[in-house]
Amino acid sequence: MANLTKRALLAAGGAALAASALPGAREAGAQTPRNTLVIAAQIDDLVALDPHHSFEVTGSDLLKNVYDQLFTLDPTKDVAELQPGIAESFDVSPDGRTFTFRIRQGVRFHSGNPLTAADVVYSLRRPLLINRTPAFMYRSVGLTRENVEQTVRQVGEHAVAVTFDRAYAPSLIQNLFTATIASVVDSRLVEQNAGQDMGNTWLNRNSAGSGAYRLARYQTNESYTLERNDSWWRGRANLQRVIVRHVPEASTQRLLLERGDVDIARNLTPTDIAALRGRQGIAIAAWPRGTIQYVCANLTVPVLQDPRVVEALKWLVDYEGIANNLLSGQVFPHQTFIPRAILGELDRRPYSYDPDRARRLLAEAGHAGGISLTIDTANSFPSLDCAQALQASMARGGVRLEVLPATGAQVLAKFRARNHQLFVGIWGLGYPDPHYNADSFAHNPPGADNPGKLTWRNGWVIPELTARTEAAMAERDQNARAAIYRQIQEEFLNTSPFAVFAQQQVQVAMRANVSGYMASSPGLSAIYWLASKA
Amino acid sequence: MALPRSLRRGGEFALQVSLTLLGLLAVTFFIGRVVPIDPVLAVVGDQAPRDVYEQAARELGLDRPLWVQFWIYVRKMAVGDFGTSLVTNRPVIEDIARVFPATLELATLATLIGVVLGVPMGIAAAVWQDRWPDQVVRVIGLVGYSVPIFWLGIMGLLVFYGILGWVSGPGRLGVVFEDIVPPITGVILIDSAIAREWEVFRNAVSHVVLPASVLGYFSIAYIARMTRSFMLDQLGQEYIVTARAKGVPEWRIVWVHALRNVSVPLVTVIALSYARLLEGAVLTETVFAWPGLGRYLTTALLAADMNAVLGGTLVVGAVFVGLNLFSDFLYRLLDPRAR
Repeated sequence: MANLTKRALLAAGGAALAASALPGAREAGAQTPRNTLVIAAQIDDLVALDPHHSFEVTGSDLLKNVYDQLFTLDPTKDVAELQPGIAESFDVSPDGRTFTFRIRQGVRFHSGNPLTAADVVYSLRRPLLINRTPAFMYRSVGLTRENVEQTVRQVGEHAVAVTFDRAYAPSLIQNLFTATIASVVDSRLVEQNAGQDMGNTWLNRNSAGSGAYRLARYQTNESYTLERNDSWWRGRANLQRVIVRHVPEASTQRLLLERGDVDIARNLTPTDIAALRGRQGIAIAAWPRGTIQYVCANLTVPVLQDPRVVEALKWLVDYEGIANNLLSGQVFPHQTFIPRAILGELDRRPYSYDPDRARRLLAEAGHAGGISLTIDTANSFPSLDCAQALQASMARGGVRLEVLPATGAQVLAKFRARNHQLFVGIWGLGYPDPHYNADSFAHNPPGADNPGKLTWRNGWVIPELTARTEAAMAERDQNARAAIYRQIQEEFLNTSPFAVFAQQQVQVAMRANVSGYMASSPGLSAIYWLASKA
Repeated sequence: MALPRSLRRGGEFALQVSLTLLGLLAVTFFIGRVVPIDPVLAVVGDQAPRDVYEQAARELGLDRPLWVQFWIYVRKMAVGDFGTSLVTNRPVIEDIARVFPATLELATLATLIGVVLGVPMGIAAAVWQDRWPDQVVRVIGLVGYSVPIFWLGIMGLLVFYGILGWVSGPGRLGVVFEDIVPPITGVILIDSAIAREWEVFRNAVSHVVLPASVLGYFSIAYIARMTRSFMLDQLGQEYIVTARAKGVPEWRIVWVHALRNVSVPLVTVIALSYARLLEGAVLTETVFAWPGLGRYLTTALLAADMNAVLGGTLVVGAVFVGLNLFSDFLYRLLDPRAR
């Protein structure tokens, strides 16, 4: 019996060894159809396909390829560069509050209906009327459910005027109108299918756009299929069809890619990437994303009120170790709150891992024997892994961390209620403008509870920075505006209770015959229409 | 008096079933409301301001007392309205109608494999107790119990899909075969047979065979072990000794006399193992990208999507009740004393 078991184990071990050695030996030729791009990805967070409802990266990957927005960020540029979209050009009124957009003529929706100024008015009002999560972006510039009839209106056959609650930087409004929420929908088609909810239910499963592709098929948590729009006004896309299949397990994605059953594996682990690098017929590529990773300290906790303690914590993050080892390939080092590739980016990295310095700061603060803290984190990659890395690196500086993992939703409820001591998490850029992050990392109007803002959640009281963030929001000159954000970030580096330690990038493995595909772009979404296959 | 009595028994049974299901619902509902997950955040997202949050909470009815919420929920459910899933934005009933056939397909095949191979193996192990067939079955069982299923799944994929290329990869169908067969039952093997699309059928078989074998292996381990112990128990009974003394051939003693008596507890074991597979095998479904009930329920649970969780729980409960009923029926068929 004992003998048999041992033999069985040996046999199993042998099989595993043979298995790990062999895949390189058999390289299957790509088996996907020539005119179709097949992507294996995790898409179970895709909950809403209505562009005025969706608020996840997975959603905008799909929607940016199906709908046109008022403006767009050139996907071929490394740093965000604005381009006209459905809005050909615009004027700003002398008081800076009213923007008049000239609507591009000759654009047709997938249904064949012409795209008109009336569609644009409908599409600008609709997010507020259906009032889903992303509507807060429009409310943040003073458009509301109640005033939208007056603030968004047609002013001529091909022109639409929008009046905001105050003067805004034109670059802010343009960047906002590149977001998924600024997608123009086919109002006639939507109204034909609308129930009580302005077509929200219908649009969550169908599409009514004018973009490069139309949605041909969608099964929640399974797959979606996009078919090319042959008469797209920017010019026809290269590939006729894009199929994205939900494959939850990274190792399964890798097998599918190796066998040639998919062209692109979107969610591989660093181990998988390392194993595939240099493999014949497979290419590895990476693009920066708008998401940053940070750890923060709740200043309403007495022991964290001493700035020296907070500074000590910043010297106890192993910035290099996290970027180069723990999350190798998935992130790059970054310490400010505006992500690289976005207006106002500042590549300053004053902090490094220095336990001795941290110990001195703690001793000055009267904690020569060290301190004990808890850190809340979602029990998932990458936050949990970062929490564990912080536990190890902080221990060497005299900070004993207890890691408290919980599901994302649980941890968020606790964070929003300010019941944490330290918290490690990620922050995604909602639309590609610096104000989006400044509003949460450097803006905290006094006298109100703002559980949506990271500043409030950490009890960071900053009347002066709040005023500067508001000034940047209105600055008409793009360069002057970028300069204000850089000043704010300098101050943020010195005094904030946040240590931003990395910016994410998307790293994918694909068949070598695929080119032009982008897993992420300055407009914060994947680009399918430039992809082609040799 | 025969008719009224059977009517009364039917009524008692219906009452029992609905009370069981109601109890199941109540427990799941209250647990779902007690866990510190906020379903509103699943709807509105992390960065929603307070007014959006409160509006969503009102829309979900979360501002009302717990027992009122439960009462509203049960009343809707009684007329077949399971509500809408927060995660998929679709009626829960439609979601389940889509994911359950996938699980049914996998679980049925796995159980078939388990019965066809497990029962003879268990019998062989009992007949040749402590000799080599017994040892082999024991090792197979031991490995089945102790190896994590996701490891076996990944290894199976690596060997039979990645290296040998004998089977198709993850998912239920290849990309080019999707959307050819109109869904009737939702079970692709059946639908493609009805439509006489034999290429789709073959592709579906080559997709299902590996996950079904992996799950089936665990059924084999369990069923063989139970069969062995039931058989050993029977083979030591006096009536077997009597039969042997009377000169009944050994094959007849095993396959007719003993197996007949083993079949009753065995049916329970098989029904239970089938029911467990019908709950959905989360890990297997994840590794094989199989869109089944297990993955659906797990996703829903993690998002505090209680409509989906409750709907799914009710289906699982109904499956258990149904299988119990079925095995009761088989008892009566197999055991004259129960008639």
